[in-house]
Amino acid sequence: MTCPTELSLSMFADDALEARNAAEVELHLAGCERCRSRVAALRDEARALRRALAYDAATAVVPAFVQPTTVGAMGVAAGVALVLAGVFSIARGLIDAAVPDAFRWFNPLDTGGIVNLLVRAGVFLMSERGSALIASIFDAVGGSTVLALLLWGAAAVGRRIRGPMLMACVVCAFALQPAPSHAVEIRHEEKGAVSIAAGETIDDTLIAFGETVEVNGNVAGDLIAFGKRIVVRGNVAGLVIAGGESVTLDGVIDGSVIAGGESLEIGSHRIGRNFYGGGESITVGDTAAIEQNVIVGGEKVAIAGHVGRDVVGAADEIEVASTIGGALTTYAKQLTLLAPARIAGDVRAHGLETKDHVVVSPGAVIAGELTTTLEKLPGEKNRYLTAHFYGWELVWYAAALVTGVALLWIVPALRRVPFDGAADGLRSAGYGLVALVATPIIAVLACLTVIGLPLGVIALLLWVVGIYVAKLVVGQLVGTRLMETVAQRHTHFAVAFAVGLFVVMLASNLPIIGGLIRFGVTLVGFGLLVLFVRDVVFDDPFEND
Amino acid sequence: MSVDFEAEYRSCYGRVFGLCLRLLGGNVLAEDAAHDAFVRAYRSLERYDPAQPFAAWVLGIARNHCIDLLRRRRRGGVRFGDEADEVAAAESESVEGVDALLANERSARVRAAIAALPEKYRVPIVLAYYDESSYDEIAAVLGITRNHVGVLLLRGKQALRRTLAPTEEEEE
Repeated sequence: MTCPTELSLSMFADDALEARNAAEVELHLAGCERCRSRVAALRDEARALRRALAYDAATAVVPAFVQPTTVGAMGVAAGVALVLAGVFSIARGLIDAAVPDAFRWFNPLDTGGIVNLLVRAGVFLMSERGSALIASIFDAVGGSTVLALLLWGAAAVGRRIRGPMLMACVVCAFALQPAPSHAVEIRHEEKGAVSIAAGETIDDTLIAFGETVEVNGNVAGDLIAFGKRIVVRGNVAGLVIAGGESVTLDGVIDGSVIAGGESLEIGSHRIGRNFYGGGESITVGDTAAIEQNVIVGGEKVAIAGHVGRDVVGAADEIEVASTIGGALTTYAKQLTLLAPARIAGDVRAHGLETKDHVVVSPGAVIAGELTTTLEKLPGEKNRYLTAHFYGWELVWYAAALVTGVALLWIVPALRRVPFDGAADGLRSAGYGLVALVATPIIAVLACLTVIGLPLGVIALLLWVVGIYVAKLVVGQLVGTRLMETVAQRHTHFAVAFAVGLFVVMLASNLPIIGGLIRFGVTLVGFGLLVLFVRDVVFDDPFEND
Repeated sequence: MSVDFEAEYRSCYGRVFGLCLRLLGGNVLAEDAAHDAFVRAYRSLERYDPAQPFAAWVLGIARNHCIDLLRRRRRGGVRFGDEADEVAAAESESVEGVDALLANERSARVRAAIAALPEKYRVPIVLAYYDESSYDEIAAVLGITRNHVGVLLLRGKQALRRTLAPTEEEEE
């Protein structure tokens, strides 16, 4: 008689054989000593497994049970969000009305303005890396940002991956060692004048505070000066940062100038790089020569002398009498070009629709083109009545459908993104908001360091892709749920996705609340993506504790 | 609703956590999963049948949740292999060495060996010998046949025997 298979014996030992087969094995065991002992050994083995796997439930630390968010709480949250949105839009309206058009780009509540500001800040920071002081400050700021980001990541996702994250931090800390420290000399006079005499030379960077700061000698590094009255007649080899009631710069400056004050006067024969100025009245004298760009904002700006590249000015009144090697761009109520102004590039004047917005006096020459853009909102057409609108929405839908189906086909796990009711929605929206806001900021900061530059660029790219994919994820989710509820059956993922995407598109285009829905969809989708990536990347199934 | 959820939570948290720990293999993962399981239980409390022990009900939820997590992690789902292939492989191995496990009374070593098993073997073993699920219950939760469960358990145990077999040095 042949013995039962190993599988049969194993299942028999686990009492898992069907009755008929079990009876057969039982019969066999009665006459086969070898199989009897096998079964006994298998049963002992099972007992050993039970002992090994046993978990002493009494040793588990029971965390307090946190009740899941209820619909009521969600309602309250939604109410608060609506009130905040209302306050925000009223505040924005008030600020919009109060801020002169010339400064609208500066309005912190204007998203366009914020993006503009970020871009400008980024461009500025990148262009100023040459200065040793600025560079080391950036390395420090950027480096600690990347470091903090890694540490935060380690804390947030990573009790699971603490080791690798800490390792990355250590590596970064070494890689980000700031350049050899820059020598700094600090001069400070509470009342009275800080004065560098004509023959004196400061070999390092000079930081000076005082009622009056007067630099007649030379500074080999950068100059940072704050006081009521700042006068620089000597030469500065690096960058000049100056702030005061009145700031006068007459010396030769090899780096850039960043200055702010009630009255700002530039008479320097040479500013080697850029001039960034802000103040009530800004005057660039006719002896001045600035080799690169001028970017100024104030109430009254007068620019004479020579500028090597472009001039960008924002002010109530701008007067230009200088030779400009590049283009002139102004945001002003009034722009006057006086002789002997000679602008090699284009003149782009943005302003209000008033009489005499741009005055070009005889003798002033514009080699390029003069374009005037007047800020007047065109009456908005009802976009739902234009074929253009439907055409583009159709294109958007088709593109999103193809992209989404391809994505869901390549990454099937995206079809099963966990979403368990309103609480999950709120949670992912929270994650989404943080990721949406923090990513570009961190990326821009990371770009300031050598090691962070590729990371920053990659993060920005992922951010843009993420915003697009966010809508697709929500579309997929909505579609699957809808098909499960309405059709009561499992449909092909592409069909569910097509339906969901359509619903999302429709909802985001509703009048009045469409924008809010679009925003919410992006938040939730972005958050789900972040959580999904976290789950896929960071969960290690075989981690030993 | 006559269930004192808080009391039930406290009394069966340890078992639920243990199951998650054995299935997922990490304290943090297990904490998260146990919490999620109780949240799900809380949400569907009206579907709970008081005739059934509360612990068994929550353990069922936790079991399904952990399997879901494992599936998601593997993107394409945990693959439990082709039944016929596994049968052939199981039968080609001899039963000798059954006592390898017994010889290793140090449970910690056995536990480590289980934790190191491929998921397709570890999950059925944990369900069968920690959770005391029947073959039919395991088959249902994993979406495979009952016989396939038997094969996976046998293969898993064979793998454990290989890992735990005393080395020549130890035998001396």
